[in-house]
Amino acid sequence: MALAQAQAVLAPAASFTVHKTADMNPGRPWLAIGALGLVAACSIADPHRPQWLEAHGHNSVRWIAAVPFGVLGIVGGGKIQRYPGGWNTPWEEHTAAEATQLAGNEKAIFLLTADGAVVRKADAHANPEPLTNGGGIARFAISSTGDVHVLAQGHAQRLVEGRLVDTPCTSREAKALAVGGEGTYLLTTAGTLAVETTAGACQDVATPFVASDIAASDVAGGNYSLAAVDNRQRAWLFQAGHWDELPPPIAYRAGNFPRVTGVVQVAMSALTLWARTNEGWVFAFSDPR
Amino acid sequence: MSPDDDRDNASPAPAAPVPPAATAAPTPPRRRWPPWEDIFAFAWRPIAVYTLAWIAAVVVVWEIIHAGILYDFVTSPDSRDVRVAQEVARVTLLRMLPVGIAGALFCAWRVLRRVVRGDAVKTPACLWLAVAGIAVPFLYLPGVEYQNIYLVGAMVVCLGVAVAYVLRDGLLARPHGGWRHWDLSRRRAWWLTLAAWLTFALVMGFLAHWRFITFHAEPYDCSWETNAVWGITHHGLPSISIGADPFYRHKHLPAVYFDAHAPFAYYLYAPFYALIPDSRTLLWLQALWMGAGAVGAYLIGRTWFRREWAGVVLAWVYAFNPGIQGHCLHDIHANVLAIPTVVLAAGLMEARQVRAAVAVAFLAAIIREETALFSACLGLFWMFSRRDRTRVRAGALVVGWSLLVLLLITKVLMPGFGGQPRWTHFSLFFRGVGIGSVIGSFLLNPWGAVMSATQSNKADFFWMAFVPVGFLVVWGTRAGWFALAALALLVASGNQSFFTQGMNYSAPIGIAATMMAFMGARAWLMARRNRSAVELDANRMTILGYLFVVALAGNLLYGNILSKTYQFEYGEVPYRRTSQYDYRWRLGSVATLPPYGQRERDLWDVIRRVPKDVPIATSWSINPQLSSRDVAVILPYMAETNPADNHPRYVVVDKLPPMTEAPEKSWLRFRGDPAWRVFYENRAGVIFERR
Repeated sequence: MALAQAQAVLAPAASFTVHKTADMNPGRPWLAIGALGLVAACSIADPHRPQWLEAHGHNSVRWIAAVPFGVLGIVGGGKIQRYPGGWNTPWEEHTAAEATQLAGNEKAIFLLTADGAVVRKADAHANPEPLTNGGGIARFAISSTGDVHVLAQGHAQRLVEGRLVDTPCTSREAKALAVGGEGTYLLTTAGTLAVETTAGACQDVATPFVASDIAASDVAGGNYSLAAVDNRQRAWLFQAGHWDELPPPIAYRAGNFPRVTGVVQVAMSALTLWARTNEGWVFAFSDPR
Repeated sequence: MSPDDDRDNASPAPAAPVPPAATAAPTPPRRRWPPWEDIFAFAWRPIAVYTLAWIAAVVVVWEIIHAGILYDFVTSPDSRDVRVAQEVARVTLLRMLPVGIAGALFCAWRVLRRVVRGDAVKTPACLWLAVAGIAVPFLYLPGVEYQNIYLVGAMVVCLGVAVAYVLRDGLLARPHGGWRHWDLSRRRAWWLTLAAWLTFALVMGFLAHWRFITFHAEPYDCSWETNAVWGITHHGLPSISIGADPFYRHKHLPAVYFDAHAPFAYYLYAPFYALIPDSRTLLWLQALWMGAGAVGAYLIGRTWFRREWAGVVLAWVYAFNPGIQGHCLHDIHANVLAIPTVVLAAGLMEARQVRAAVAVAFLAAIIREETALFSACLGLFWMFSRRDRTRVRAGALVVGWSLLVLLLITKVLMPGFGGQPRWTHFSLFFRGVGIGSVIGSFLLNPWGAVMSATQSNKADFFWMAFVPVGFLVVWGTRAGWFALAALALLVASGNQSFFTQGMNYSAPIGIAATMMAFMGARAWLMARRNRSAVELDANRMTILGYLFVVALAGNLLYGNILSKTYQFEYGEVPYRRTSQYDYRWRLGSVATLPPYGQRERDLWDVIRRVPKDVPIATSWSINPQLSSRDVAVILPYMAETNPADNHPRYVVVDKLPPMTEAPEKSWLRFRGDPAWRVFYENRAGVIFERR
């Protein structure tokens, strides 16, 4: 209890920046000692402002997928890496496969091949199992139970027993989709959002921005449910019934001052929101609020 | 250029020639110029320095304006791409240059006028500060101190030399000034030394505390060492459960720790920990103990330099040492405590407190299994310092005790518990594994040892350790005994963690750098041409001024007290939560401390609800906060192969961003397992209870 009280006192007391230096007048040592308590010049991040933490290793990837064990990234050369990796290996090779997009859940990872087919790998070493007969799929998303939703010729469809079937929003022309708790979200070519509700309707979702990418999670009790990227490369998070614009990721590089970067893709698992920047760097969202 | 040269310069220029005798009506004497050779001889040096200073001032202003391109400007001078990219900025510099040239011409005109008039011309020493100041904007760039280690070290030394030169020049200009007799009273000196200690303890204790409450402490080794002290207070012996996987898979938990380490220092922590059984107690005690070396440094300084203020300077130099500070943030370790303990023992001996010095040296020997090596070095230093018989006797006693302790711990105690010193950390052996094989390698293959010591990671490490003491280590060979342990433990290792300042493995360099630098400053003072008492006093202030400046700069770059960044996390990536600046994937520094927000409060709420005195399993990031108990293993290990009463009854999982490990898979696993139910959950964490 005493520690908890001390902690409660320490936290707000240190939540501002102190710029005082010690008074080293030897004639007043008590003053010097009193002032020395301030010499930490503590600069503490604002506890009311979320931030992005970059994955270690400064890896540059072409695509990311949020999975329960972290994040997967397509790095090219037929390699898919995962983060966090093991000791001294922040990005570890997860599996070898040529893919343009991927997604994953507890049970498997799903890949979109260059010719537009969706394949499934039960684990990193398993042989790929084709889920669609032909190509033509531009984008896909999976639910936590493994249901596959695709965009074929720009229209949303659902994969049922190897066949693509129409959904309530099939008539909308879309460029991205994501499976959330409320249903499957579509990002239309106009940059608006729509959701295929579990009741079978296709409803528009109001957004204060023009979207360029979306991500969602359908796991109940998770931290996040829906996120998007706008056409200014800023990420947005939907929580408590409204959209919050998130601060941009900041890249820290030796020799350069911290630099704001733009988000081009978001990926979401039950507990984590990930972002890929325009330079391929991967960030995890951290919200201390 | 030396100050002596300047004094020569300061002598008057050649006297104006005597006017010819008047023969007719008196006419004003016609002014004649001195010979051009004399003008040149007396004017070239001040004009050159003024010119350099003006150009440097212009460059500094330009560097500040164009800080964004400064890194490439300095580090890629031969890159055509960089030149092309910086074309506009470089043209700007060229356009600014006339301002500097105009300033230089104005100063040159004034110098020439004085020379022609026959007035004394002296080059202001402070101009060299402007010249050395070119380095300052670069040093403030983020991360350069780890990216460009050698360049930054050279810059720090240049700054220190410039300040020392100005200081010495100023002092010698006032040979009868009050500075010669100025000193602190003993009482004030003690206050300022205690201030150094307190500063160190408060800042480092606070930062360690902050790491802990924001979940940046690591199981390796915050949990390990907290387990050990918990074991001492509850079972009388240091014990472990965190290491169950992979070290104690078939033992009953908590297992006795003596097979891996012998941290007897923790018995001194135990009474305090018994009062407040929490890792934070240990973090604050560690900061306090580590700072105590400032007292030893003060005692050494006031004796070796015969001034109270000199002792205070050394106390602050110790407090500003980044490596020693860093040990307070690499979680909790016993071996690092040997640094302040040995320095304190050395100081007590200088203060002629022989019994206390020997007692503290004895304590240093039993801190952990390898610290007897450090105390043995201290004993050798005393034995061979040839001051008096008392020192020889004390030194022999300490060496004997240290060898006895070393043998008992490594040959009796640790093997008795089924272990041995971790030779897996070392790679430089002559034949077989052991201390004899390491010594054999040094003696029989010395060039091989040199080869090993100069590998890039080791050379970087030694360089970085010597920057905050201004490389005075090089002159401190009389204290070279302290380097023996560093040689044996550091050069012989191939593990990068040994060569990262602040990591506990790097502790041997802390003692060697501190003691050899102090001795180096002393030797440098003795070696100077102290032709008079004034020069001796000026040189004393100069050398210690240099040491203080480089210590400040070292702290600014690599330390934590009023520094550029906080050296916040140690360990191999990704076993760190922050990700800003990085050194060799072992040290993570941050410009801003992580926040303590509602999420952290919620997670602490979860932690406080975990039932006491029952075996638990935790996710990685919150194990240190739950390590004050008998059994707290780390997921996914569930103590399956340990006895049944060790099996966790509760599982605690955080929901922090997965920078170290992803807790989500554990969260999904237990929420879907019918053998477990949610005991408590909020947005930051969850407790599962076995049904």
